[in-house]
Amino acid sequence: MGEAIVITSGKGGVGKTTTTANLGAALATMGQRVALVDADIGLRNLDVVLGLENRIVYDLVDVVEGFAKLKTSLIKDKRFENLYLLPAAQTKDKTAVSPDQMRQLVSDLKQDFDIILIDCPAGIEQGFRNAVAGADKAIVVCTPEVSSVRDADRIVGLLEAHELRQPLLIINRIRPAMVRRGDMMDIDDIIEILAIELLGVVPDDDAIVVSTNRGEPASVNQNSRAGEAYRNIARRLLGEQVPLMNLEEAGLLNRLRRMMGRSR
Amino acid sequence: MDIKGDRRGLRILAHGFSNEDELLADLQRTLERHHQFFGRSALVVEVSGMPFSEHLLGGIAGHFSAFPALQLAGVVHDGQSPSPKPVPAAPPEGALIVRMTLRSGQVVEHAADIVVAGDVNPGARVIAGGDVFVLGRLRGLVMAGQPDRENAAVYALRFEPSQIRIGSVWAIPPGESAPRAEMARVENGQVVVTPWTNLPEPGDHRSGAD
Repeated sequence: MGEAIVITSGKGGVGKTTTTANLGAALATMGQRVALVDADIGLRNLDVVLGLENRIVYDLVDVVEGFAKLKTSLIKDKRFENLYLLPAAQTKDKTAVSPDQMRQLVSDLKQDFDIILIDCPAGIEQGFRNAVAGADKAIVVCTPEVSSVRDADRIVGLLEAHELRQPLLIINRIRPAMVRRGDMMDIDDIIEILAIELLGVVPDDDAIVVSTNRGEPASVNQNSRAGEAYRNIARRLLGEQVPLMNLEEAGLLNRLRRMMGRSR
Repeated sequence: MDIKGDRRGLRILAHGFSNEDELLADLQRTLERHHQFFGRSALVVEVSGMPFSEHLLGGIAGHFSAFPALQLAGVVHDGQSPSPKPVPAAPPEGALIVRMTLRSGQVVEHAADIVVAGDVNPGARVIAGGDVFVLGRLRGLVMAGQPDRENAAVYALRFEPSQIRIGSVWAIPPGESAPRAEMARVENGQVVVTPWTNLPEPGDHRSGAD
C-alpha cells in the first residue's frame, strides 16, 4: 500500500511541476515504484517537463470516466525503471473530475505503487480540491518572495481544513548571493511565517531551465545543484537524515565544476 | 442665556426653555451678541429640562459652525461633566479563545473580546466587538471595538500589524520599529501605540494598573 503526496503552492510558477518531475525521477532512481499524477486538467505540463508528451494516448479524465483502464493509461518512463505518469487532459477543465473520483483513482494507484506524487494546479478552487482529495501528505513549494509565502500560508490553512496537517515545505529558487546582500527573504524569514517543517531548499539553477525544456529531470544530472537538492529531498522523504546542503561554498564549487564541464 | 466661567472654562447655561427651537433661537442670539467677548474660547453648552435629540445637538453644532473662532467643547445636562459623545454600551461578555495560528485568508469574528493563542499572519483578519489580545506575532489586519467602540484596545506580544482599526479609527503602522510587545488604543481620535510593559506578575491582582 503506497503513500500519496500532493505537491501544491497556491501561487503559480513557483516550481510545483518541476518539483514533481524531479522528485519522481529521484525516487524512482532510488528503487521506489513511483506514479506521477498531473491534476492540472486543461493546462497539462508535467508530460512536457518529463519529455513524455508525444506518448500520451489516454489521460486522467479518460480513466475516471471509465473510457480507459488505469493500467493502460499510465505512461512508463523508459529512462527510469519505476517511473510512471498519468497525464492530465488538455481539452477539458477542472470540473471534468470530482474529488470523489480523484480519491478513488489515487486509492487504486496506491495498490500498485510505493509513492504517488500529485501535481496540483495553482489556485484554491476545484483543481486544488481535486488534487488534495486523495492525498495522505502534502508538500508546499514556495519561492523566497513575499507573494509566494503569502499564498503558501493560505494553502497551509486550507490543507489543514482538508485534514492534511503538518505539510512539508520546499523553498525553491533561493539565491544565496541575494540573501547575503539582504535583497531576498532568507530561510528563517519564511519558516517564521509558515511555521511548518522544512523538507528542503533548492537553489536557483539555470540547469533547471535547460532540463525542463529538454524534458530531462535535473535530479539525474550530477552537475546540477538543484538536482542534488532534489535528490536530498527524495532521501529525506524516505526517512533518511540528510543535512541541508551548504548553499554558500558549494555554489563556488559548482561554478568551478560547471566551468570544467563546459571546457571539456 | 447666562454665561458662567469656572475652572473648567466657559459654559452657556441654556436653562428654562420649554422646547428645542426656543433654546436654539436663543443660543443663536447669545452667540451673535457675545462672540467677540468669547474670543477663541472652547465652550460647553449646559442644557436642563429636556433630553438630547439629534435635532437639538445638530442645531447647537450648526449655530457654532457660524463662528469659526469658537469651539464647541461639549453639550451637557446640568450638573454633569462634559461628555460630547455618549459612551457606547459595554461589549458583550465571553471572550473567544483561538488556539491556533491564523493564516492568510482566515477570518475570526466575535462580538466580544478575542484572544489568539498563536500568530496572526499577514493576510489574516481578526474582528472583535471588544479587545483583541494576540499571544504571538500580530502581522495581519486587526479590528477591535467594532463597529463604534473606541475605548477598545489591541494587545500583541509582537506588534507589527498590517493595518489596525479601533472603533471607526484606522491606522497603518509605519513598520520600521523592531517588533515588541505593544498595545494600541484611541486617544483624541488617533490610534496610539505604546509598549505593553505593564504586564502583571503572576499572583499580582492589583486592579486598575495603567
